[in-house]
Amino acid sequence: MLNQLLTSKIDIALAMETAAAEQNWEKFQSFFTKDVFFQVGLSEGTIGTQEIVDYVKWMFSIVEPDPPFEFRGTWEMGDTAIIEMDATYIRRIDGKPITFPCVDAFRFDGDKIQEWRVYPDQSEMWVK
Amino acid sequence: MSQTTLDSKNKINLIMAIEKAATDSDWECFKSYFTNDVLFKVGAGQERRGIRAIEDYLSWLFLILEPHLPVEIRGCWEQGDVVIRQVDAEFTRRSDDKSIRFPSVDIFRFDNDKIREWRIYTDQTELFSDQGRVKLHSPRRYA
Repeated sequence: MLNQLLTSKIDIALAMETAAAEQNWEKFQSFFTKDVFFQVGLSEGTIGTQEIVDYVKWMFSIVEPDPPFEFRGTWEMGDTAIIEMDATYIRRIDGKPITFPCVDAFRFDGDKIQEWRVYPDQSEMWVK
Repeated sequence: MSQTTLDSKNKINLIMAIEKAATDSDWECFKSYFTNDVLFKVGAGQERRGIRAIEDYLSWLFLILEPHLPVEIRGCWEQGDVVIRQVDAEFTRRSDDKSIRFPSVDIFRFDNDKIREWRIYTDQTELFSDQGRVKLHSPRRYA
């Protein structure tokens, strides 16, 4: 099992986000339970891995990841992992570097992510 | 690393006391919980320093919204000098009496028993949706 080689839930979450940035969707989906709950900000929550893939593809069509992200803090408490970061991207429409301050909150079932709530401010995603 | 003198329960109680002081507009009590040079940042807004920045923000927010306590707490954790609180906060938008909700994560960093940094990670698009702004980020929107 891929995820069992990773020593912490933070490692699993970061490996998942790396797979997303690499657009390795088969590997990306392996980090989640089949019925994973996913919600970004105030948007409607979704169930299932394909919904997450669709969201990430949609987002990457607007902004290109510009790693490394700046991590302010990572914490692991029981079945929960929290990542606080400034996520950096290039806005495709005008090539402008932009930053989303963001917290990712993950809840795990064993070594799989069963809930992913994202708390970003994505106002910079759009040209004002 | 700074030394924390409060235990976990007291820290969480302190956060709740701060929240109550803010919603009661008891600013004298409110500001006693922070260091003089506290760093405050909401979403992608500018980092600001000092208690006045927090007072100004909350006064502005409460002009637009009426808060409803208690907030729904999804999780609250303390590790070292940090308290993390994951909540769904409910408000009534004063312009149209619409009930709105902000999912948010507050991250508080302490210097002993005072908060030296407060970052709020939230989606406040509902603040202005009465003015015709849409929720552009919604993953449902591309479908």
